[in-house]
Amino acid sequence: MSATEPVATGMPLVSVDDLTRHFRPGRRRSGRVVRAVDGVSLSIERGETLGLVGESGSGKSTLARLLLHLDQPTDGRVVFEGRDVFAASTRELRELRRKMQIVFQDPYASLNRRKTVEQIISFPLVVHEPSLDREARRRRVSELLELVGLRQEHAAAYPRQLSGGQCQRVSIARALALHPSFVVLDEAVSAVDVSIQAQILNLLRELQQRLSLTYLFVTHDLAVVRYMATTVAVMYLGRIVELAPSEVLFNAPRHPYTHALLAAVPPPPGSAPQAPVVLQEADASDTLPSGCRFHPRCPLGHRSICQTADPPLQAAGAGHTVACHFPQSAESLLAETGIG
Amino acid sequence: MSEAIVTVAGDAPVLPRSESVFRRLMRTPSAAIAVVVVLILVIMTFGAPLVSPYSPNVSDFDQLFAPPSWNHLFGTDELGRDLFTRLLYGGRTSLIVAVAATVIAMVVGVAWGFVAAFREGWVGELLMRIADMLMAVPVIFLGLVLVAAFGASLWSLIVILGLLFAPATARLARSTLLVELRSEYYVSAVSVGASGTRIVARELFPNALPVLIARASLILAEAIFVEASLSFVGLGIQPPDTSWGTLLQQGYSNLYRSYSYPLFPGFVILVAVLALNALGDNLQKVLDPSRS
Amino acid sequence: MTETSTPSPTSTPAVGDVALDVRGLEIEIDVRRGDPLRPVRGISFSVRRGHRVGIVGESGSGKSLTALSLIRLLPARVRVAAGEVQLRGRELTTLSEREMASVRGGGLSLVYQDPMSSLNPLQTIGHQVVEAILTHERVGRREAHARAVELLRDVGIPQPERRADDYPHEFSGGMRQRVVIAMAICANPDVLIADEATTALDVTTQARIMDMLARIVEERRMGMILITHDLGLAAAFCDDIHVMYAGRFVESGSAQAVLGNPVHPYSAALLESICRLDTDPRSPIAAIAGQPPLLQALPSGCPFHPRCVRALDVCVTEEPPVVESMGQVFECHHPIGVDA
Repeated sequence: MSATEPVATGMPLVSVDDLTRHFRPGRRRSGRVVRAVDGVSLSIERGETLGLVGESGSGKSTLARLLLHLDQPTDGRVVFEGRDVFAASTRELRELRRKMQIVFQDPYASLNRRKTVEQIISFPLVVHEPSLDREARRRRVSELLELVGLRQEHAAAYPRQLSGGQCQRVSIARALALHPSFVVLDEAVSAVDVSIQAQILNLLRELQQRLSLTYLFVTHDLAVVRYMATTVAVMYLGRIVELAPSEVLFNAPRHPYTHALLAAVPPPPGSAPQAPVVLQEADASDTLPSGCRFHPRCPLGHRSICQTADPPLQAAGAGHTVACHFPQSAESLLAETGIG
Repeated sequence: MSEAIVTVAGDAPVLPRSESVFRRLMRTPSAAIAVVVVLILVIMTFGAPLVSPYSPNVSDFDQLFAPPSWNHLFGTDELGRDLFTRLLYGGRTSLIVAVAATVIAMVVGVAWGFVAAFREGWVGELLMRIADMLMAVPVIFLGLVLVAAFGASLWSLIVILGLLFAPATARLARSTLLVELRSEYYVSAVSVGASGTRIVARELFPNALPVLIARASLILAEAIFVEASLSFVGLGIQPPDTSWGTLLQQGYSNLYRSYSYPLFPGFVILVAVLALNALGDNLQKVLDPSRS
Repeated sequence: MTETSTPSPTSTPAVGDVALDVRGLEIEIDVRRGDPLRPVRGISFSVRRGHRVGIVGESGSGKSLTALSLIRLLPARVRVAAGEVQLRGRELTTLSEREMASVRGGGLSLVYQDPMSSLNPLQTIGHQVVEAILTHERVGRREAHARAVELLRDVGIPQPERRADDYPHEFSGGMRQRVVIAMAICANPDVLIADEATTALDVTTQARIMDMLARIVEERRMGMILITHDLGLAAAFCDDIHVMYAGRFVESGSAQAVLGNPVHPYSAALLESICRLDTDPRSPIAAIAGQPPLLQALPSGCPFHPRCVRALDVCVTEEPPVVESMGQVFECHHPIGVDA
């Protein structure tokens, strides 16, 4: 099946199967392994926004890059529009890249500082549509600038002349140049001023509707993911620990880590302060804990099964899976441990 | 301001463009002087017929070892030839050799360094260890050995000099490219689907270029110096060609007959090397502030 | 947690004494061509012992330069153009460099965003804390080491005796920041300034560190200035808040007042534009239009007027007056909810 044929309805746009990425830093024989992504499976439906949440070290950014084959997997498969991404030839991969794009966190670093905005945005066109002449490219760039809310004068500017928010818009314009169907947003609003963040989120939502885009929204900010995502996956140390539709995850989370994350968010200004969940801080070591990865920090983690057996993802409701031996509601967590 | 959905960013002004490299360069006094000096050297040596009324090879047997005077600005040599004129024509040779050697050093070194940067495994390591070994040997010593082995014709001298400076250039090219390879705009370019060669040529190389250009100036300075050294010991430019180094050598052997004879070639070499070094240092600062 | 290991100040000030008093602070940046830029254009505030003050602003507001100016570590070409900074009655701006050096750490301490820029990767953290102690006190090495271990325990580093021999790279980001805080408080400064100190940390770590800071500040009766862009964090942690925009405090008051009943349109708009857990995902976020002003092109009159939904003609031409009303101080021609 070629990459330009429509995907059969019912098939998810992106399907990830047991994806694994291990790093072996240092000398080969030292045996140190960093299990950045360790057996992740999920699927993203057309038109939805999957939110991927986690703290540093969770592997979410690595996962995002793996989906686009910007990194080498150790194991597993990613199927995009019916095609196996890792098995694709160089040419097939190039074609696939038209349809899947990424916007990074650092607005300035992801733009070539020596190129003008026009050159940056037209780069994908130069690569994939060499038949387009300069005039046609310029028109397309013009369209894209307007689409992302920039002005025509910005085309001649260099990244260093623009603000962070404006640079992110340029990145978004570049990502949209070839009419992709899937866009990965890797902490795309994290490095931007708070008041600009709102503008960019609005823009992303509008673009999603207008252009029928599917998003993978990677972030550490729970409030933003709640706003943007239809489905949310919570990652911890390379694994997905909870996956649920957005409303379900935020109203009725089950995994103790999810509870802790939600409790750690400063409450909305003007509302009552809440007692934070006491969570042991993560140690900077590479050795994964035995059994459940979260057990050393988990308020319930002293139970023997947690220390010996790694819990698989199990169903906890419609479209809701949790990787925990003792999934809890907020009330039961409070009752069990006196916290939450 | 009553748009329901606020998405447009347009209204804020854009920062003005910062000034050009040249202007920033000329602002530093040492750089400005260096540029002027280099220009003077180039113009005078290549415009020698216009600058000096004398021919470099015509002898005036009445004026052997004449001290500096209005007729002979730098005096005359053992055959009564005007030293100033000989320095101008000799300068051409020195500069041409140095420039050609620098070009070879840059081409070979950059290719070497780029390959090492891309092939980070044992190939890259091997290439860099070879570079390290070559750099461990003092340049002049290595130069002497190579010249003794391959002869000292003009071309072999140029090639040898070029190869002498290639390893250091390779190291620089590799580290510069590695920095660019780690940057996010490189990953962006890959994500767009551009091929490897296109990315290197259009995205990475232009960003690496400024640092390399700055280094070229420093290589040029060193090339002049090494050529002069080799010529000084007789293993560089061979007669009948002259260069600053051969003139220095002739002046040295006639030191007791004319104090000024070795002084001027030495002085010119000094000025040229200093100016090019200053230019290279300042270019580096201006073009890539992160390295200064 | 042992009071005996920390030296008691020679005089015992009561909680509530003014520790730091800033009046009319103005900062200028010299540029080659034209008038100097003015990133801070006259701010005044005070910090009492045991009192937590927040300065909230986005990039370009001048908040970080304010922090640097208090301890007089401004970069080249940036200088304090006017104003007074009094630490327990002692004027800091006129001190010699030598006198100021003893104030840093002993009177005022600053903690930055990136702990690695304050830590030497080649020395053990125990060594670095000991050095910090020895800079301010004449004690023997053994005594200093004992105090260092107690300090590390106080900031929440588990097993401090053992971990004092570890190097910075063996610690996680949150732990490193705790070490930096330990170094900052070792000489019992009167005021601790935290400039985006938790911005780069995970939300769960941030919560724990803020708790630790709250405890430390209270135990040692230190004043604290929290500089951040995160309104939620400031709301949860600070007693008083100053909202900074284009180099001035546009609104100041207690945290509850400013965040519960904002008077200045910027504070109100900022609150509205923040994505919170309770933001309605179905409608667009009420983003603030435009961008923070460039220093080179400050708007006339009130600098917020181009982005303000309540702007009147007078806002374009005249700078707003400073008004005090019911404990809140603000600068606006057309404030919200206050009878003009």
